[in-house]
Amino acid sequence: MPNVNAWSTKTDEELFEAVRCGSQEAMEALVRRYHAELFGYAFRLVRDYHWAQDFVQEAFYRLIRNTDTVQKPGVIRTWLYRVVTHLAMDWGKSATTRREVPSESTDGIARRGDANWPAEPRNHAEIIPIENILEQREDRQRVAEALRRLTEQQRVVIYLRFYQDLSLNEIAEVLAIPPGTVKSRLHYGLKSLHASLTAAAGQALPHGRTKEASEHE
Amino acid sequence: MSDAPQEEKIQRLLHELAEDRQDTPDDRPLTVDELRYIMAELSVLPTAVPSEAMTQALIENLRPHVPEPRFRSTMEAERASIAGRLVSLVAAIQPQVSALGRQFWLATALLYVAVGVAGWMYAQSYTPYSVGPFIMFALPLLAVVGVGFAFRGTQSGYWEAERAAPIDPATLAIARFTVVTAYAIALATVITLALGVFRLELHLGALMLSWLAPLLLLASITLFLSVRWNGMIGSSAGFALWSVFLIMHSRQVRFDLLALPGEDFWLAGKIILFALTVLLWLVGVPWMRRGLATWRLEVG
Repeated sequence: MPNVNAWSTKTDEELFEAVRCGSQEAMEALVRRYHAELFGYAFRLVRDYHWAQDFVQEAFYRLIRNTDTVQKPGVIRTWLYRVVTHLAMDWGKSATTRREVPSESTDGIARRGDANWPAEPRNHAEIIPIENILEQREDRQRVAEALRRLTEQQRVVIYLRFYQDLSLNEIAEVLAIPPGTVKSRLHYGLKSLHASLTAAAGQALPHGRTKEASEHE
Repeated sequence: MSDAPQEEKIQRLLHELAEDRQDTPDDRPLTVDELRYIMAELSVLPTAVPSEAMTQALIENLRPHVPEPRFRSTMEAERASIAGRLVSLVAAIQPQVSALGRQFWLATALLYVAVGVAGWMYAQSYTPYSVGPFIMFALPLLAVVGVGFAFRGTQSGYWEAERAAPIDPATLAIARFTVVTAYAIALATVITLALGVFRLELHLGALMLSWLAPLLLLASITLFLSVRWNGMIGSSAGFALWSVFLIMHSRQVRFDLLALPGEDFWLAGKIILFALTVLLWLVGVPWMRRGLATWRLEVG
């Protein structure tokens, strides 16, 4: 892939136009630019590596095959997010195809050495005491459970805002809703999340108090 | 959340979320401390990262679905240089000859022959000297007719289809103009030389220059207006301008652009006409491309 580095400096629109004209290098650069973040997002939505990879692949496939559907400049990234979101939501609604996978599989401890499996999200050379691992696992379960209690719409907005770092306007484009609705969902989602987390932690913190502050005391 | 970039991200998001929470239709917005708490909790969930093997597998899976390289891309790459633009223009000219059809070329030639015969009869009826002005005034009009006819279909389905073809539409238009105008000039030259046997008492070169300068300007105006609007508007504008020139000539105004060889302002008039043509192309080509590009964006 000698030309990929040169392509990586191009804008999304330049890459997209080159893909339309048949450039394999541009396609590769586009995939390398967005695969990781789209996969991370898809995995949060479906909690299944294979489905997440399938949805990301489908989004890229639609992008390069239906190039006429992307008309406005500057929307490649949000367009990809939109496709992944729709695919994941449709998948979630389909009871027949749904396979529940616990969110704790994100630890990535299993299936090491599988080339089709994601890289470990942390450095495994690091020696972590077993009690820390258990504590970490409990924390994750607690947060995952709190997120599950949100409505799907609130959860998606929080994922896009916090984990994917999309702006309110970009989220509005992804979900095809007004920015005001995004703001509202984000606000109520965060409030619900705060209530669930504090309740789960068994700490009825007064407003304005942090968990860390109370731990200090 | 110990690493600096992550902490920086949290700080930035905190700031943005604090702004986001304004104007929310709620009883009480979350405090910054509450937001910080939520974000600290959210950050305990790891982000799944695809391995290099997964990325490579995805690329390989997509590779067969990338569209085949198209003629448009080849042309656009070639047009990066001036020489490349000329090459692509020449490449686009040849198909235009067949695209316009044999009937067009034949009818145009017959039209010029008819004008030639009319010029011969005119010379028989009046004086041989009058043939010069006759062909000088008639030939540019024929070019306007030819260009207007060649671009008559700008609102038809044929033209729409042509603009959607994987060839730069502006190059197509210029190629067609080149071929039609070159044909007009060739036929006009033949007519001029043929009528030259009547001892025009005018220098043939000067006479040819006299019709060539207005011909190029009028044909160019017809081209740009035809492409941006339609052939009827282009031709009408060409005729209208030519009428203005003729009126100026008949009233013997000081700046007569159609001054005959030997008359005052003859050379200056021709230079002005050529300069106007060059200026028109400098302005007209980007204007034409902009119009065609807008259309192209709409179809993706």
